Amino acid sequence: MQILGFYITGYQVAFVILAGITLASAAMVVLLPNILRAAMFLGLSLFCTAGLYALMNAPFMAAVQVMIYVGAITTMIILAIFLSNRVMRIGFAQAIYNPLLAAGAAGLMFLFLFLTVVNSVWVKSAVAAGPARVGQDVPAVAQALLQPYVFPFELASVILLAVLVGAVVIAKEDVDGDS
Amino acid sequence: MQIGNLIFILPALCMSVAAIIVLLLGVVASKRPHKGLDYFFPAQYAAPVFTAIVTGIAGWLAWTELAAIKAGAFTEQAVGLFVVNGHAQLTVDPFAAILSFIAFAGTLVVMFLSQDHFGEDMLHKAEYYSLLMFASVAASLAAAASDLIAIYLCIEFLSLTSYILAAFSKTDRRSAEAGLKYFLYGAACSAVMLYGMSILFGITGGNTALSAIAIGFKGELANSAAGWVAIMFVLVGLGFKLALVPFHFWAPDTYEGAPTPVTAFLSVVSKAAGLAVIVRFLTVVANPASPASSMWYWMLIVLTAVTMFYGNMVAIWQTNIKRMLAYSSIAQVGYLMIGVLTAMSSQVVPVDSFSAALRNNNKGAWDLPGVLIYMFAYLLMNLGAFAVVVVVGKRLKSEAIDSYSGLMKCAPFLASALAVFLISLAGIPPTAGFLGKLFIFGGAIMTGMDRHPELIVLAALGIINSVISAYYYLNVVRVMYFGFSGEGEAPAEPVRGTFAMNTVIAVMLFLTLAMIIFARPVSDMASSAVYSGLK
Amino acid sequence: MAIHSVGYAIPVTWFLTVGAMLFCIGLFGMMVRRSAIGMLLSIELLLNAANINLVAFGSYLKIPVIAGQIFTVFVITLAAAEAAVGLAIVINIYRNEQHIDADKISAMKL
Repeated sequence: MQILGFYITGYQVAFVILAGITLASAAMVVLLPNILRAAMFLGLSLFCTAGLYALMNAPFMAAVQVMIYVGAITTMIILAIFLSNRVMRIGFAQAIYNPLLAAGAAGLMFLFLFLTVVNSVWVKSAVAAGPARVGQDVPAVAQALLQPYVFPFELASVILLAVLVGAVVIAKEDVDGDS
Repeated sequence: MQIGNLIFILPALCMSVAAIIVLLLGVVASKRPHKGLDYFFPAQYAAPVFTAIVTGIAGWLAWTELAAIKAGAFTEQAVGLFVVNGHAQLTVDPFAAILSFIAFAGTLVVMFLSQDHFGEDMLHKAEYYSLLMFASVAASLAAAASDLIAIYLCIEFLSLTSYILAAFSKTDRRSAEAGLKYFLYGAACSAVMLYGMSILFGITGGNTALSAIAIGFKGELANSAAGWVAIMFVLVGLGFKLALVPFHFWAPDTYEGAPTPVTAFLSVVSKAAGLAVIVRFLTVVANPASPASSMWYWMLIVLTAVTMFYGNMVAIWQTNIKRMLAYSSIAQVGYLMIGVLTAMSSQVVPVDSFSAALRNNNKGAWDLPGVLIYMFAYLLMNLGAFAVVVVVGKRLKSEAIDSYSGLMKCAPFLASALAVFLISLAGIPPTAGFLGKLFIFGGAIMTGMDRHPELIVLAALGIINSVISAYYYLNVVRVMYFGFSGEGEAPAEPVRGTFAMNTVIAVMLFLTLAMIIFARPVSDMASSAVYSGLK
Repeated sequence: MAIHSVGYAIPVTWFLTVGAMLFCIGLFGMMVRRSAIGMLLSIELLLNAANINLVAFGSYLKIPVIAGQIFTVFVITLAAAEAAVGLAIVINIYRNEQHIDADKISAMKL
C-alpha cells in the first residue's frame, strides 16, 4: 500500500493503531480523576501492549500479558478499589503540585530519552531491521525457563509464596482479641 | 553446572526450607490454639534455632572458602553457579560468602529483638518470622547475584518482604503508613532501575550477566549518553536500597513508623544486600578505568559527601532516638560508600568480572576489606543500639531521647552498653567502629596519595563528619548519665531486659570491644576474603 | 535461514519510542497522582515500559536472544506480587481509617 509516496504495510497500520490506544489510555490512567476509570484504562493499555508483543513476534509474551497483567493484576486493582473506596482521600505530599510543571518535566524526560537512547547510534547498530522469526516462540521460552534460567524460575516461586502469604496476613481482618 | 556446586548456596536453600517449616507451624497453631506442635515448638523459638543453624552453616562456608583459598585449593576465587553461555548468574566468592554470613547473623539478632518487642502473644507470629527468614534468603542471594535477572529478582524479593514487615503492626497507623510510603517509593525506584536494566540489556547486545555486559560495555559505548542513562537509572534503584541522599526520602518516616526490630533489619541486613550489589555492579560494569565512567565516579563522590553531611546534620536535631538512628544510618552508608569508591578507583584497566577487578587491584589495599570490616562492625554496633532501644522502648513506652534521662541509675548495664554502641558508631577508639573507619579512611588516603587526590578530600570529609556525629551520639550518653537539661528524673521502676536480651546485648558488646584486639586476624581474614588465592 | 523477517518493516525505534513515552507518562503520574492506588497504577505503566523495551530488544537484536522475554516473564510475575502487597497495605490502612475520626485523616503527613 502506498500513501503519499510512502510504502505502508498492514503491520505498520496495526502498530500505529495499537500504540495509539496504548498511549492514549495510559494518558487516561494518569489524568482521570476517577480512580476506577483510570484502572479500567490501565487494563486497556496493557491489553494493547499485548498486541504490540504479537507484532514483535513474541506470542508467549502476548498471552502472558493478557492472562496475568490484564486478567489478574488489573482485576485485583479494581477489586481493591471497590473494597476501599474511601482510601483515595489519603493524600501524599507531592514533589510537584503543578501538573503543567510535571508535564513539562515528563516531556523533557521523553525528549532526553528519545535523543540519547531510542534514536542513538548504539541502538541502531545493535538491532536488525525486523523482529526475529525463529527462536522466540513458546517452546524456546519453555526451554530457556527450565534450563539456563532455572534459578530465577525457582526463586520466583519462593518469592510468590512468601509475598502472597505476607499480603494475605496484612490484608485480612483480624478478629479482636484473637491471639 | 555440577549439582555439588549448590553447596555454595546451601545456607539460602536451608533457610528457604526452614522458613516454609516455620510457616507450617503457624498453620498448626491457628487450628489448635493451646496444644500441638506450636505449643511445644512455637515459631518465635523455632525461627531463631533454624536461623542460628543456618548462620553457622554460612559462617562455616565463609570460613572454609577462606581456608581453601589460603591453602591454594581454589584456582579460581569465585564459584559461578547457573552458568549461561559461560557467564554465571550467581557468583559465590568469599566477598559474597562473608556478606551472606553478615545477613544471616543480622537476621538472627533481629529475631531476638522481635521476640522481646512483640512478645509471646503476637498475632501471625509464624508468618512474621518466616518473612524475616525469607528476607534473609533474599539478602544472602543478592550478595552473590551477578546477573541482571538475578539482581532484579533478589532486590525485589528483599523489598517486597521488607514492605510487608514494615507494615506488620497492622493496628498501628504509623506502621501501616511506613509500609505504604516505603512501598510506593520503593516500587517506583525499582521500576526506574528496571528501565535502566532494559537499556543496558539492549545496548550491550542482549546480555544479562554482569560479566558479559562488562565485555560489551566499554569504549565509545561506555562514553555514550545511552550508557550514561542506563547506569544512572540502575543506580536510582540501588541508591534507594542504600538510602543514598537523593533517594533517602523514605528512610526517616519508614524507620520511625516500622516496628523497631524491622527498622533494625532495614538499617543493617537490607543495606548489606544493597551494598553487595552496588559493589559488584560498580566495579564490573561502571568501572572508572574506562575513562568515561569517571562521570559516575565524580557523581558518586559528590553524592557520598552530601549523604554524610545530610545524615549527620539532620540527626543532630532529632528528639526521637529511632529517627536519630535512621538519619545516622544514612550517614553511615556514606562512610561505607567511601570504601566502595576507593575500590572503584583502584581499577586501572577495564575488567569483565569482579574477581578480575580484584586481581588488578593493588594487593594489600584496604578498600574492600575495609568495607567488609566496617559492615561487620556496623552490624554489631547498630543492632546493639537497636537492641537497647527495643528493651527500653518496651519498658518505658517511649522512644524520645528525653526519656533516657537518668537511665544510668536504673539500668546501668543497658545504659553502659548503649553508650559503648554509640561511641562505636561515632568511631571513637577502642571500638569496632573505630577499626572499621580506620580501614575505610586509611584505604581512601592510601589510594588517594597514589593517584586519586579526591579520595583524600572525601576521607577528610568523613573524619569531619565523624566529629559532627560524635556530638549527637555523645549527647544521648550525656542524657543517660547526667539527665536531660538538669531536670533528670529517673524512671519510676528499674528497667530490666529479659535474660535472652541481656545475653544478646552482652555478646554484641563483647564483640564490639573485642574486635580491636583481634584487629590483625580480622584484617587478615577480610583481606584474604578479597585478595588471596588470586592468580 | 534468515533469522529476521524484514517484511514487517516496523523499525525497533517505534517500539522503543512507545516504551519511552509510557515511561514518561508513568513518571508524570507518579508526580501528579495524590492517591496510593493512583500511584500504583503509574508504577504499572513504568514496569510496562521496561517490558516493552526488553521484549523489543530481545526480538530485534542482530543475534536475537530469548533472555528479553524471560526477563519480562519474571517482571510480570513480580509485578503481580508487588500489586498484591501494595493493595494489601492500602486495604489495611483503609480498615484502620474506619475507626478514626475524619479530621485526623487530614492531618496525616503521608
